[in-house]
Amino acid sequence: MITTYECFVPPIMGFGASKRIGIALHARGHKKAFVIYDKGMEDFGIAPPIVENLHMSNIETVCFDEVVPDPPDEMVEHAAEIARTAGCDVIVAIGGGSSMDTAKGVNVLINNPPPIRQYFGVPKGLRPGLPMVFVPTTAGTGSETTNMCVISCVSQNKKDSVVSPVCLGSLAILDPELTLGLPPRSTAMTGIDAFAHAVESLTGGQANPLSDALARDAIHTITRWLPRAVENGKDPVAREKMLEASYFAGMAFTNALVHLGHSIGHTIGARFHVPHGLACAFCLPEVIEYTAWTEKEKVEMICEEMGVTVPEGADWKEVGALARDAIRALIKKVGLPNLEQSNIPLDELVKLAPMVTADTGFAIIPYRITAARVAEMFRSAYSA
Amino acid sequence: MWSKLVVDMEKATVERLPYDKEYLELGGRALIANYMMDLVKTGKMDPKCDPMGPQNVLIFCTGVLAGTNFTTSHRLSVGCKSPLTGGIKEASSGGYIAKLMADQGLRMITVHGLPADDKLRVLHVGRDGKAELLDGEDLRLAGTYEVVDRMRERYGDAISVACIGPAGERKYKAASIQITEFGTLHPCRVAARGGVGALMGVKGLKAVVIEKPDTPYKVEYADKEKFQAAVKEINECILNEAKKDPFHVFGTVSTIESTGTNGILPVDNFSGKLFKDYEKLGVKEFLAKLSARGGCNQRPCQPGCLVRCSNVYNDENGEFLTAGFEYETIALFGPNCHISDLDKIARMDRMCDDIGVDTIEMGTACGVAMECGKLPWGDADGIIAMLEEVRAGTGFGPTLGDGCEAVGLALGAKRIPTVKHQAMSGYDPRNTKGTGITYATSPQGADHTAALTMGRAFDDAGRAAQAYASNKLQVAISFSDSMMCLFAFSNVVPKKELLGDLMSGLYGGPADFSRVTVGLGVKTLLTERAFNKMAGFTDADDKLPDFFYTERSDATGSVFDIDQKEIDVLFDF
Repeated sequence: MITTYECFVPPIMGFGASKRIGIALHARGHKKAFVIYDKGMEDFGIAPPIVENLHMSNIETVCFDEVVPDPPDEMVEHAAEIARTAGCDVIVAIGGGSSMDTAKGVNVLINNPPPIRQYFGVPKGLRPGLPMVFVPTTAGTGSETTNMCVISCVSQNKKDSVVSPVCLGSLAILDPELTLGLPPRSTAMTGIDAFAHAVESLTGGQANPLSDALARDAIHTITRWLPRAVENGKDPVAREKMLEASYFAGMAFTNALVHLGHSIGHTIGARFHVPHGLACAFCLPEVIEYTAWTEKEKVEMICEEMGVTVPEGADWKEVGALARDAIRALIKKVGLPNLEQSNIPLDELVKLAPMVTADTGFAIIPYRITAARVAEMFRSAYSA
Repeated sequence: MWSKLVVDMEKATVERLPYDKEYLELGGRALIANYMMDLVKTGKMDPKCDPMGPQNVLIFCTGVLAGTNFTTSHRLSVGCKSPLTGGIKEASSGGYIAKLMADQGLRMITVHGLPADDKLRVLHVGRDGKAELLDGEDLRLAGTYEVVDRMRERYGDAISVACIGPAGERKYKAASIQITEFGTLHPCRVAARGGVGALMGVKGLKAVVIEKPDTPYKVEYADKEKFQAAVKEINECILNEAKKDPFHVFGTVSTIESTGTNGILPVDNFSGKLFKDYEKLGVKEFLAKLSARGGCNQRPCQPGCLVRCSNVYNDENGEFLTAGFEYETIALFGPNCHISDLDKIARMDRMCDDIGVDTIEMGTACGVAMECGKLPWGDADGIIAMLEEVRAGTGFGPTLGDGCEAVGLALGAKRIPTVKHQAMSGYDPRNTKGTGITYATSPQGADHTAALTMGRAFDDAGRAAQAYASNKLQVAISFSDSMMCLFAFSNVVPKKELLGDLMSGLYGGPADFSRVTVGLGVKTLLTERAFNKMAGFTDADDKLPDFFYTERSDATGSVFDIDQKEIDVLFDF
C-alpha cells in the first residue's frame, strides 16, 4: 500500500515544561495571546501560573475562561468574537479536549465568518487562522496533535467536527505535572480514550507504518501505566508515560483515524450523556474482536503489546477473543463500569444500533456490518 | 389512472391496460427489479433463460415521479435480462420519450415474445392515444438518424422516438436503444448498456414512436399542495447548486480535467499510465470548438431540466456532427485508444449513435484490439473503418459489435477490462478504488452510472472509506435512477430528505425519506442481486479482472488492493 504521513505538532515535553511557554512564545515573536480554559483550571491553580509566565515574557493575554464540556457552537462563536476584537496573534488552550476544541473552533472563525456549523466535515478553502499552542491537562484526548475539533451544534442537537489544517496547533506543551491532580475516575476515562485511539487507529483502513508504530507503543505503555496512574495519581512516572502515550495515540489517529468504537462512543455519549472516554470504552473489546476478521495481524499486535500470548495457529476468532478479553480486563482494572453498571437500559441501548451505522466514523470501519451486528455487540458488552 | 402497454410480438398485438396498483410507487430501476422478480416468481421467466429467447421481456418505463413538474423526473429506464451480462439490466436514458409516455398516461411498456415472422415493426402511439404495431420493413438497416427523419416526415416534430440501428437488428450484444432528445430530436440519448438494443432487435421492434397527445394525462396527487411546496424548494435548490456544477457549466467532458491529472482516466487499454495530451480533449478545447463552429452546450435533453448538461457539436465546416457528446465516449475512444483528436472522436460518437451501439463497449473493445495489434495505437481512422464494419456486419464488425469481452476473447487478449461481461467505463479502478468496488459488485456489471466514488473517500487510491462510499452511492443511485436524473440528484443533496415529501404529496402516506432510500434504493439493489444469483452469478463474479490486482498503475503505483472480504459484505444492510 502507498501511504503518506501527516504532519504533527511539535512538543515541548517533560515535567515543568509549561514553565517554558513564555519563552517559547516570545521566541516565536508573539505579543498577545488569547488564552482559553475553563473555570476549573483557575480553581485548581493551573491556569494562573501559565498566564503569569506569559506576562513575564512580555506577552499580553486576553483570557476566556467560559469553556464548558462538549463545547457548544454558540460558546465557540462568542469566544471567537472576543478573540477577533482583541487582536491577538496567538491562541493558547489550557485543559482537556473541551478547551482545545474551543481553541480550534475559535481559530476556524478568526478569519472565516460564523456560524461554525457551515464548516462541519472537511471544508475546503478555509482561510488560515492564528498559531495555536496547546497545554493539555489530561492524558487522553490527544487533541493537541490532531487536526480536528468536535463541536456540539445546539440548534441541531448533535456533535459534529471540523477537520482542517486550521485546527492544527503549532506547539504542544506536555507537562505531566499539570495532570497530577486528575482524580482516578477521570484518569481512567481519559486514559482509556487514548487506548481506544491507539487500538482503533491500528486496525483502521487508513493505518500506515508510522501510525502503527505510534499506536503499538501507546498500547504497550497504557496497558502498563494507566492502572498505576489510576491507583496513585501522584506517581510521576505513570503520569509522564500516560501523557506521552496519549500524544502518541493522538498522532496515530491523526494519520489513521478511529472507527467503530468511536462511532459507538459518540452515539451512546450523545444519547445518555456519558463522558466520552467511558462511552468509547463500553464496546471497545467487542469492536476489536470484530476487526480480527480482516485485521488479524493487527489484532495479534494488540495482544502482543498487551502481553497476551497468541497460541501458534490461532484463527481470527481466537485472536479476536483473546484481544477482547485482554482489553476488557484492562477496562475493569482501571475501575470503569460496564453499560449495566452505568444504568443504561438495554432496550434503549439496542435502539441506538442503527444510529451507529449512520455515524460519520462508520465510513472508515474495516468492513461493513449491519445494525443487527452492532446490537449484538451491545448485548455482549452489556454486563461483561 | 395510469396505463401500461403490453406488446405481444408473437401475435403482433398491443393492449392498453390499467397500470398495476402494486407498482404505483415504483419507477425506473426499482420498477424493473420488481417486475423482473415478479416474472420469476409467477413462473413466467426462468432466470437462467436465454436472454435472446422468448421468455425475456423488454421493459420501457418512466420514473416514479413522471408526469409532475419535478425537474428531471422524465428519465426513461429500459430493462430486461441483459443479452450482454446475462443478469438483470436497467439502462437509463434521458431524452423526450419518457415525458411523452407520461403525457400519454403510460408508466410502462412491456414487450413480450418473439415474432413469428422475421418482419420489422414499429410501435406507434398516436396523438389520440391509440397504440398499434405498424410495419417497419422500410426501415430495415436504417441508421437511427434516418429512422428519426422518416418518423418526422410521417408524424411531424411533436414526437419522440426510441429506436435501434443496424447493430440492434444484427443482435449485437453491445447494441443500444437510441432516444431522441427534447427540441432537436437528435437520437443521441442512449439506453446504452447491456445490449438492450439486441433484445429489441430479436423482438423485431425497430422503433417506438410516441406522439404528443392532444390531451395530456393529468396526474392525480394525494396532496398537491404538499407536493408543489416540496417541488418548489427542491427545484430551487437544484437550480442554485447546478450553477456551480461543471456538468452544467461545461458538460460531462469536464470530468477529464480531474481524471486526466490523477491517473483515473484510462489510457492505452487501462494501462494505468498518464496521458500527456489529455487537455486536447478538455474543457477549453471543447468549448472553443463549440463556439467557433456554432455548436452549443447547456442544452436540456428533457423538458424542465435545470442541469442541462447536453450539447451539440459541429464539424470544422459548421455542419452538425454529433450531440450528447459525453466524457465516457471521449475517454474511451480517446486516451484509452491513445487518441487525442476531438473531432475524430466526435465522428465515432455520431457513428455509434447512428449504428445504435454503446460507445463504452466500443471504446474499450478498440483499446483491447489495439493492445492485441489489430490496429496501431492512436489509429482513429482505423477505428472509424472498424465501426463501418459494425454497421455493415462485415469483417471484424460482428465481433466488435458484441463488445469488449468478445473482442478480447477473439484476439486472445490477456487484459480485458470487463466485469460480468460488461466493459468498464472511463475510470481506472486502481486509482478510484470505490469505483472499482462498484464495478465488482454492481448487479449491472461494470457500469458508469452505478456509483463512481471519486472525491468521496479520503484518498481515491487508498483503501479507507472506499467500500462505504461505494455502498452509499450504489444505494443513492438505485433510488435516483428510479425517480430522477443522477446529475440533478447530485445537486439535491442539501434537500434530499424532501424526496420523501414528494412521495408523500404524490402518493399519500408519511413524508419519510426511507420510502426513497430503502423502498427504491436498498430493496432494488437486493432484488437485483437476488435475480442475478438465480441467473447463476456467484460471489466469484464480484471481482475485477486479475490484472488490476497485479499490475501497478504507472500513474500512481497503485494496484487494486481492496480486501475481498470487504467486498463480500458490501450489501449487508
